Amino acid sequence: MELSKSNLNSLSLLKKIPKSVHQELLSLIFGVLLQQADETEIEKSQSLKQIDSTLLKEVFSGLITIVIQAIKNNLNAKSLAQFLKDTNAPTEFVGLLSTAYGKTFQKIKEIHLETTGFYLKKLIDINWRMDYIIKSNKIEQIDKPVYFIDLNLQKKDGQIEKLKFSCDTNQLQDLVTTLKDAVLAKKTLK
Amino acid sequence: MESVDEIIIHSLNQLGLKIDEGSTISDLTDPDFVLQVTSICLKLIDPEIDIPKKMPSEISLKYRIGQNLSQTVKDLGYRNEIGYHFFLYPDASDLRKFFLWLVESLPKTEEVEYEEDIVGSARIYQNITFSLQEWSKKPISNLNDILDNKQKTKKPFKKFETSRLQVPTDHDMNKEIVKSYCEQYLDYVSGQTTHIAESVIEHNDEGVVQQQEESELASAALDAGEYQQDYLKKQQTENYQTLNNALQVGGTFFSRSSTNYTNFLSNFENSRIEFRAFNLERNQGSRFSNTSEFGQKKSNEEKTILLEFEREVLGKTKEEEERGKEKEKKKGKELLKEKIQEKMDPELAMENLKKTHEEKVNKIRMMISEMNETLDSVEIENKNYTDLIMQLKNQFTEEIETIRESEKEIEVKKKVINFLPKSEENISKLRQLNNQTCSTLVDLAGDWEKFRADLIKKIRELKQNVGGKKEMWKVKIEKIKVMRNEMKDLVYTIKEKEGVYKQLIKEFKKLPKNIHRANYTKRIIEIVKNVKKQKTGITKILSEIHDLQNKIHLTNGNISRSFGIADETLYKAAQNDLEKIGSKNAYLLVVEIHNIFSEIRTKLQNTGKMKNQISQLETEIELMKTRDTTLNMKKIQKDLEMVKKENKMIKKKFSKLKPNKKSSKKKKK
Repeated sequence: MELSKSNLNSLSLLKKIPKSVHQELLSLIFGVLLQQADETEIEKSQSLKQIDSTLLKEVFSGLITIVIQAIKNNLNAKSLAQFLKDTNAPTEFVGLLSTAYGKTFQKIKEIHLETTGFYLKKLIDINWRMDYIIKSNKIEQIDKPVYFIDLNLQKKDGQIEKLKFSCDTNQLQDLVTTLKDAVLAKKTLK
Repeated sequence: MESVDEIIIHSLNQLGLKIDEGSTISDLTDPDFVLQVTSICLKLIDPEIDIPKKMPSEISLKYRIGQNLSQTVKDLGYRNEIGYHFFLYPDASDLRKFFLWLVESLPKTEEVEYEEDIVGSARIYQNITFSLQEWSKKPISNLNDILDNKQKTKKPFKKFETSRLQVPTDHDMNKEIVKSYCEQYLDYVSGQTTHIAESVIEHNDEGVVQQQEESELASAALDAGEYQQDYLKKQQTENYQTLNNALQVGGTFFSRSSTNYTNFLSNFENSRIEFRAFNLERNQGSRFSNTSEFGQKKSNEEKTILLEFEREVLGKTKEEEERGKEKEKKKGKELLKEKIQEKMDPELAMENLKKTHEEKVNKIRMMISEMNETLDSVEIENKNYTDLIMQLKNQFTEEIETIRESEKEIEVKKKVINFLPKSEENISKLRQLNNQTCSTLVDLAGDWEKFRADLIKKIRELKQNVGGKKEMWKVKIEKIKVMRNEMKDLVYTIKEKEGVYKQLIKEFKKLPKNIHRANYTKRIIEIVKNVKKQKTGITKILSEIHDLQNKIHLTNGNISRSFGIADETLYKAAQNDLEKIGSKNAYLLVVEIHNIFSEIRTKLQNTGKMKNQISQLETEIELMKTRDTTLNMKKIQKDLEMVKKENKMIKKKFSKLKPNKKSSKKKKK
């Protein structure tokens, strides 16, 4: 797990926040991540309101990144605690964070990370046709083939989109070679 | 041998077999077990080999399996003798050798992998490749199913979208405006975006990458041996130069706007440098920048002082200069007026100018065309003339030669004409001259002969030398031929040896490395210790044997001597008093005693020999016992019976089949 300097710094900034507030802050953060709470609740609570707001904002963002990163790296509560012990975080806080993390991490994972992706369309089928053009209205002699290619693509919601295009031999060869290169590149990864 | 057994059993247990650590190889001679071990090991050595893990009940199949196994083992490089009988009736000592070979030829599994400390982009790349590898191993349909299942069961998918996050940091707190902004207007991270997780990940990774870049820069600067700032500036100027060069080379397209472009580039560069420098100062607060600022302030002050001084000195001369300037101004005004009057009618003047110019241009063009024509004609003439000159020169030289020849002829004829009036005198003179020349010729011939003889001698010597040299050359050429043949032979041998070397290297690579080396060394050391102990024991025993033999000799000598003395004394006594029966009897008794003792001695020796034979026989028996021949015999007998039974069964089947055939034939008839 890698964290940027500013995020690591936010852990050491925790010392400036009184220990009595730690539990409240954590519950708020996990509430936000579980989509049960809102950051407006900070202003509602009496104890959190007294803390310097910039400090609180920095710590808030830092803790959220730590939790999200830990989930991204699929850490369990124990290994997260181990990781935090190596940083400047106060030990009591580490205990609190790791226990809360252990309880909620599966849910947060489901809400935020498991359901996000890049959603490139999936190629399902290809139809193709080759026409040989002898001449056109304006040109007397062409004598070249033209390829008509239909790609059937599946979107993330299961709908099928058709991508149609025509190309000449050179373009088709270019397409084929790039595809072959891609396949080769994937093979070299093995 | 126990240590060898321990090693073998330990390494076999590592393969997943369950053998008691205390047992020895001689406990493991069950053919089923041997087959199991060999099949497991051979599969590890070469995964393509397929061997059943259990012996079939039929003997013929057993025999076939045994033969196949022994062949494959031999092909894999087992050097000791092995046959089908080994797998059917395993023998402890052979089994030990075979297991040792199996364990040694197992592929290495103890490869220590050092996990390198990979950070940043390299790590990300590694993760990507790893996950892609995993992904490519799965069948595609499987992946689709997983995705479809997830879609059905869980929340709908979101696209990975990020928005930029603003987080207050320590550095911002130095500026009042930023601080107030952060306090009053900046929202919490979760309020800034609707997709927190993605944005947070992006923000973090950005920070990580920036740190990495900075550390890389610092290390590069360290390598170059410069300050970080200087190194940055240097690199940026270099980059700027290369970019600029490329643009200039890029050609005419940029040439018009190149000045603008370079300005733009320099602006860009300055801003970049300032930004970087600001960042660095913010992070480090370097002393260097402070000192440079201080230096600049100083120099500015000096400049203002100098300027004031100059003004004072120049103040006096200024008045004179001003007067001169006024006069010049007046003259200039008059000139300007004239010019303005001329330019009152600009269009007319322009038309006039154009006309005159056109006329001039036309004239000049005509002139040029005329000149070109004349030039061409002159060139052609010139060529003709040069050709003519060449021809004339040749004729001239020919004629000069003919003139010279004719002159020579004329001179000869003139001389002849001069001689004609006194012809006789002249003839006699000529004869004399002729005689003189003849005699001189003869002399010269004699001289020539002498000279020639010397020369011929020299030639002969040289020829002989040459002949010798030729022989030398022949010898040398033969030597060279021999050398060449040798070279060819050597090349062949080198090639052969290279082949052998390659084979050996292959074998060397195939050979197992680092397998229980420590154990082997321990074993070797133990064996050496044992051998030393045994040697000392043998020397002790030998010395004891020597002592015993010496003692035996001594006692033998004592016995013979004492018997001799006793014999003599008693014989004398017997002779002295022949009448007394006692002395005679005593003598006879002594002789008897001697004979009996000699018999006892021979018997003792015989018993020693027998004991030796017994011990030898016992060792042989032990050897025989280790071979387990009796057990094997029983097994073989059993197997023989089985084979006989099977043969009978087959015969029966065969006989059953035969009558059927006969009957069928009969039916057909």
